[in-house]
Amino acid sequence: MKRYSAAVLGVGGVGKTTYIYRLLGLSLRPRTTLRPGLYRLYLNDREIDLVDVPGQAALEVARNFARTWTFYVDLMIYMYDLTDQATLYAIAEIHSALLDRGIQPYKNVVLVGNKRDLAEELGIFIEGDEIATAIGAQKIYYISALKDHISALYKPVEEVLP
Amino acid sequence: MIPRGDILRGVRDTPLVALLLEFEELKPSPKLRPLLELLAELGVLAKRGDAYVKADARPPTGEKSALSEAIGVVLHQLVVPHLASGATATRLTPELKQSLYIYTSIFQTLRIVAAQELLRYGGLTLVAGWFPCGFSSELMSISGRDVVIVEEREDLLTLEIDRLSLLPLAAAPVEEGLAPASFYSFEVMPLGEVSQLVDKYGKFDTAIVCGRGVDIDAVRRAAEEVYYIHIGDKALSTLNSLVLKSLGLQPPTDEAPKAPRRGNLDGFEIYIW
Repeated sequence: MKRYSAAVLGVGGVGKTTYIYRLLGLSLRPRTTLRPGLYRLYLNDREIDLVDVPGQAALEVARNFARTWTFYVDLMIYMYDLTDQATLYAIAEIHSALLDRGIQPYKNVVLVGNKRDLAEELGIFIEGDEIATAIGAQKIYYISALKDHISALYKPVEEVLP
Repeated sequence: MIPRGDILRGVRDTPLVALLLEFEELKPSPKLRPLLELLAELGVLAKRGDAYVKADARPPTGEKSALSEAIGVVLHQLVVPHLASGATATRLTPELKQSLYIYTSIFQTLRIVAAQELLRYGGLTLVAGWFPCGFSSELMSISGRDVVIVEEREDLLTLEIDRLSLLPLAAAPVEEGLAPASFYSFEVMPLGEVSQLVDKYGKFDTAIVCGRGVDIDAVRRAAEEVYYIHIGDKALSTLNSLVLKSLGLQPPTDEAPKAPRRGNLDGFEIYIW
C-alpha cells in the first residue's frame, strides 16, 4: 500500500473539514476546527493522512509549516469559497507565507473551489485560474463538498497522487 | 458507522477460516471455540446444538478494502497463533503493526462523532487505552482538547506517536481562545494505574475509555468526567476481545457498567460519569 500525506489549507468557513468528513463518508456539519486535525483515508491502494488546518490560523500555520524543515506533504489542497473572492486571494497570501523560507514543503498542489451549489444558486462563481497559475496548481476542481457524489470529491486526491 | 462488510470479508478470507468452511459441520474445541463464535456472530456459521454449520453471510465482492486486508493479517498473524498456543504476541512484525493501525480506522467515524457530539470545548483529556478505538487528534481538532494518551504496550503507542508528528506546529497568539498548537503527551503504563497521572498532570477534565477492560473506579479518580464506550455490536465486540487478548490486553466485560448517564451512537453504547 502506498502511503501519502495531504494537507487542506484555506481561510475559515470555506469547507475544509466538511470536505474531509465527506471523504471519510460522514455527512456531518462540523464544528469550527480549533486545532490541526489528522484523519486517515484509505482510497484503493493508497493510505492518506489528511491534515486539516484551522482556517482562522491558516496564515500562521502556513508560516510555521515553512519554518518546520521536516514538514512535507505529498499533496497540498488549497481550498476557497466560490462565492467569496477574498477567500481566493487569501490563498495567494497563504501560499507566499508557506514559501517564506524558499522551500516548497509539498510535492503536488491543487486548487479547490468549494460551495459550487451555492455559487450556482447565487449566480456568483469566482474562477480560480489566475491564482492557480500563480501558485503552480496542477489542477483546479470546482466542487460542492456538501452535495457532490463522493466519487467527485475523491478526484482532487486520487487524480494527483500517483 | 461500523464497516461490517469489510470486517466480514476480512475474517472470511483468512486462510484458516477458508479451510474451516470446507467442513459441513464443525464441533468446537476449547481453542477453536472463540473463532467459531466470531464466525457465528458474523453470520458465516450458525449454531446447531453443539456444532456449527455453514450459514449464508456473504461478504461484499469487488476490490478488497485496506481494512479487510488488515483484519485478515491481524487474524492470521496475531489471533490464530494466540488461539493455537495461548501465548500473547510479544513482538509485532511491521506488517502486523501496520494492520493494527488500520484496524483502528474501524472506529474513526465513532471518534469524530463522539468528539463532535459529546464533548464540550477545551480541557485536559485522558485517553485510557489508545487501542483499539484510537482516540487522539480528533479530540484536539474538533473539541480543542489537550490530550494525554495512555497505552500498556509501547509498540502500539508508537504507531500513533509517529503519525502525530505530521501535525503542524503554530504559534499561540494571546487573542486566540485556544492556541492552534496542540498539546499531546504519551504514557506507557498499566491502565489500572492511571490515577497516578494526577500527580503529574493534575486531575483530568475528561477521561475516555473505549473498547477496553479497565477499573472504572481508578479512571474516575483521575478525571472529573468519564466516557466509557462499549462496543454494542456483538461481532465487532467478539473480534475486538480476540485481538486484545492476543496482544495481552484486557478486553472489556460484557456486563454494562452502572453509570448515571448513557447514550448510543450507532452500535456503540456510551456510559458517562
